[in-house]
Amino acid sequence: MPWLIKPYMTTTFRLMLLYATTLIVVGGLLFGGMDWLVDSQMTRDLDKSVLERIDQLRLTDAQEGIKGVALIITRRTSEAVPMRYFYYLLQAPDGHRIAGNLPEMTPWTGWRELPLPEQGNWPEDEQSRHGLLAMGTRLDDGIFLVIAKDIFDLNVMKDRLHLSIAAGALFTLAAAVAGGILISAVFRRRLDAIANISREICHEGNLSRRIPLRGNNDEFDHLSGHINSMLERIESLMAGVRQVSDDIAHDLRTPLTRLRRRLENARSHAESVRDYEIAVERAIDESDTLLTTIGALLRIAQIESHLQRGNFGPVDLSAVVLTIVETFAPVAEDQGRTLRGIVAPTVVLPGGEGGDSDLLIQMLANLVENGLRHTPPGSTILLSLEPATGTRGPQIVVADDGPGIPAAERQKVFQRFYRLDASRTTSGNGLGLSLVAAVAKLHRIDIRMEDNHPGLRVVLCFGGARAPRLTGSPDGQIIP
Amino acid sequence: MKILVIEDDGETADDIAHTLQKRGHWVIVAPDGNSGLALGMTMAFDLLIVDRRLPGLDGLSLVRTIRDKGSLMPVLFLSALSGIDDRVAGLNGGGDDYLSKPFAVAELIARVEALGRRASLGTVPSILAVADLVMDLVARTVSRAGRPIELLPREWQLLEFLLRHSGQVVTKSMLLEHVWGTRFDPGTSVVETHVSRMRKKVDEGFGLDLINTVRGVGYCLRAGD
Repeated sequence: MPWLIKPYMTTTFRLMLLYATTLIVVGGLLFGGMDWLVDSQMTRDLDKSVLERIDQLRLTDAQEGIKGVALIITRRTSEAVPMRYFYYLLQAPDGHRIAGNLPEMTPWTGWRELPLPEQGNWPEDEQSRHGLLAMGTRLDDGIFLVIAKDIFDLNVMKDRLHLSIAAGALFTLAAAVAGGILISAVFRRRLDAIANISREICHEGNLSRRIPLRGNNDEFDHLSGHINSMLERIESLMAGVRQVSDDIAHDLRTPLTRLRRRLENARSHAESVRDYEIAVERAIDESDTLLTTIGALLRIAQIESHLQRGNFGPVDLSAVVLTIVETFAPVAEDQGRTLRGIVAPTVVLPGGEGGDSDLLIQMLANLVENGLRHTPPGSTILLSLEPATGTRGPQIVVADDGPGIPAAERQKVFQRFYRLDASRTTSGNGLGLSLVAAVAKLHRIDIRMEDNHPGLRVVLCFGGARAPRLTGSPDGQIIP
Repeated sequence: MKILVIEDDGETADDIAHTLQKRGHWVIVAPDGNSGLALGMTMAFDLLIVDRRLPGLDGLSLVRTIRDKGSLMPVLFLSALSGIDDRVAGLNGGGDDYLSKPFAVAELIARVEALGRRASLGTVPSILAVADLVMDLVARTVSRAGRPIELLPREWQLLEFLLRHSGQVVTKSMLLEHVWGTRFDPGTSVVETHVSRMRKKVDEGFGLDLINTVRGVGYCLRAGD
């Protein structure tokens, strides 16, 4: 499996390292704190034991005098105790030792560290750990008393603690690094799988492939799902573009051919200036039709690529629909049909984005013109605007009582240049509904074409939003 | 009118100049933005026709410059860019009208002369009249030969526009723009339908037809031929 990124450069690894460092620092503080606590506790204990003995000997001195103290000390220091912990010194003012197992020394008061007098008694490997913490004090008559304790225990405990800390830190570091590498590897495998397939798709240009999903609905599957959705969208856009190019090529070639033929005819058969004039007139008309068609195509393309959202503002839907009714009612009448409107007042376009009134007018105009064009004289077209209800946004319905559209064709009519077989010969370039679809999509309007029993009923629902879908590969599971 | 045409395409410029000169206007052509700006700033013109795409200084910047200098000369933009955003940009940038290529010559003439008329008007009149047709903008009444005429709101707007441009040819797209506020061209005969209803009320039974159809171009409101 090719490593597209070096292991130590992955974010997972870096995070792991960061985490480990934090752990070590925190752990270090913890252990260090513990160390200090234990240390101070033991020192306190040690201090206490020494001070107690000093107090005791002072009492003895008060009651029995120096002789009494010397007796106790001599007894204590002469006991054959292999592990001796307490050391004494009772020293006269002139400097000679009265009792005890410490050597004579210059008097002092307070705490001091002293070396062990019997160093050789302890095993060699332990000798460095032994040492004395001594308290010096003056008794009456200038007698100098020292009581000291071996801090061997303390040192042993300290050493053990330090060992534990070191071991702990080392273990944490090792675990962190190992864990980092391991988790990193797991992530890498999943990511690489996705990355490899993406690369292959790009390389081959095969947009119908999808990234397979593991099926455990984890973050990688979600990522794969989203990428698959993207691929699907790109695939359909590409197909759309191909379709459009085909449509355009085909449907523009026909009028252009016609134009050419007319001009050719003129060249071969025209005999008078009048003949040429007529031919030129017709050629201009044909060119105008072509230009209109191309203009409409460009418009649709612009709308579809969402370039128009810059003109968005608040839209009074009631005003828009009323404009259409008022504008087209006479037109319908002149053509022997009836256009009626039922418009709820003060209905505005929902949502914060607003919309483009001009585009919406054009969209409705196209729908109405479509109705006029594809119904026989005597038909009625009803244009209604209903306000929002609790469950849905405002709704516009364009319904006629003409022949309608067969259910099978209702989706296809939105394709560019699509003409129902029944209407191939009527005027219009077949782009009207494509424009309707483009404007609807831009404004997130849901379009439904239904049977009006009889006739066609086009329902435009405002305020629709489409949630993203996750799709899996054809052979994998689909995650909803 | 004295008209300055700033257009780099020689053929188009010649066509425009020729057409307008035949109508009796005085035309100068500048082939690029810089010379156009120089001419526009130094000589007094009644109208500027500016192509948006020019070598050197582009049309939009040119117009913005002269507007910044306080000039109120009417400007008609010409452009191969025909998107709505382009039109809005042109009108927001100081243009008074916008025509996309390819354009019909009659359309150009109609709009040029409408712009010229608009500029020469001083105060807005409150009464528009041609022959025995009188429209009172304040009282919102229309009458002909003393007889009041009932018009629907849309018909009123159509008549008002034709009256304001009486004697001039008004194209369908101009009517769509100013009366319906939109540029798109409905496939069916929206303008014709409404105009014919309106002219029926205004002309029928009054002897003289004031509203005349100019074939292939538009309409013209005038008394006599």
